[in-house]
Amino acid sequence: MICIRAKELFSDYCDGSIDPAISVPFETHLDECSSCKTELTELRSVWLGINSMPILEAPSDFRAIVWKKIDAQANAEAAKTIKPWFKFSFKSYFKPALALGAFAIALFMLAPVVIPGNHTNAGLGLPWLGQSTAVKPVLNIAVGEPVIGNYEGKSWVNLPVNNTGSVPVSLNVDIQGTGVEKSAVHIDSPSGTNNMYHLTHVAPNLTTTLIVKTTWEQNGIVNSKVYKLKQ
Amino acid sequence: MDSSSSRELRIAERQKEMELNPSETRKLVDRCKQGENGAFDDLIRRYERKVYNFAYRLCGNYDEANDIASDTFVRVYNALGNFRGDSSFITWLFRIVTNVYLDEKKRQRSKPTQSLHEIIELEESIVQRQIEDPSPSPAQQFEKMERNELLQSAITSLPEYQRLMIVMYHTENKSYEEIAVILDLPIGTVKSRLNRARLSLREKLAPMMEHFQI
Repeated sequence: MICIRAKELFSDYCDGSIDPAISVPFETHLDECSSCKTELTELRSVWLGINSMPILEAPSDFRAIVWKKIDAQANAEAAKTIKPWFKFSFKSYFKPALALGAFAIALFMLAPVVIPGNHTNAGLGLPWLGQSTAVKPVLNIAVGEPVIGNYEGKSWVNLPVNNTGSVPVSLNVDIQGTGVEKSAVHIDSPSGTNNMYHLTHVAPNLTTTLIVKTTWEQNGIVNSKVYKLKQ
Repeated sequence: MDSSSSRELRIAERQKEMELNPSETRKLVDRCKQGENGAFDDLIRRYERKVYNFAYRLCGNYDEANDIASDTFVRVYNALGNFRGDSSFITWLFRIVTNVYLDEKKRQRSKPTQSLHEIIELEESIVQRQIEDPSPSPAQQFEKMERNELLQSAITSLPEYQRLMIVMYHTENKSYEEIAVILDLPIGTVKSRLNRARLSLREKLAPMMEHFQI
């Protein structure tokens, strides 16, 4: 056996896993080669030396250090989700600016339509500028949720209608329920703001459920809402 | 040959001492997965010494060992939900320590610093970098000559993979099979590399062999 091959077997020989068939020529080589024999003795000493190295204790505050790191990591992740106000983001600033610009252009184009009064040509060459525009009727009606109120010993269903527009609106109200004296009401042209219509009254001590259906037409579209009121 | 029998005794002694009962560990892991921080605290308590020792034997520096060991537990905390139990918890844990250690070495290589503990390899022997000290303590100098210190220095001077194998086998009592699983290498490769690492260690320590007369 040559030295290189013998050295490959040093570990197997030390941990006792060497093939018995090889151990004979290996030991013969050791008897003949003082260099390999010395090296093996030294290796064994180092081997035993490492095996008997002392066990160290972790620092007493080790667990506290670990938890501190875990907390710091959690805080860092939480901070990532909050965007600092001073951090400039091209995207976040560019998008609203673009939208604002588009809105301004649209407003400029529609100015004669939505702004009442006479417009004079500013010399921009746009055909609609400078044309006199008549005041157009504006549709703006909001029908609120009816509520049950109490007035003069009777319960009333109140329907708030907020009409700030200048278009006459027909409002139909249909109320179904026990104690309802008047089931259908037609209101012509509610106008102004906060119109309150007392549609019907029921006995205040009566336990009842009222189904209130309001229907009105606005911009050619029929709007309808149904409410369920309990007394 | 007494090195193998002493190793077995040592393994049995350490296991008994550290009470690393796998079924208890499994229960702790399950509780951790339910989000119980108290269970994770128990898990740290159970394995801190093992992880810290492994880390110290790899780097030979207390502060660095502290960092590697604590970072290991942070990674365990984050990854415990993915632990399926295909391998034992301790094998998985050692794989994480190994990864943290190798990542740290990679980071150090990208940001080289002059360590006070740096090992300088000379032709005939290894010495630690000497920093000029106006008042050298005799006790400290004696300490450096201690066998364990010499061994630790020699281990730290080994290439990383040889170091990992030496520490896993000799100080952490891992079997060849376990090392193969942790490092994802064939057993034959582990055995041949370990043999080379031992020969290399012996070579480094040859000039100081008088400290190893047993």
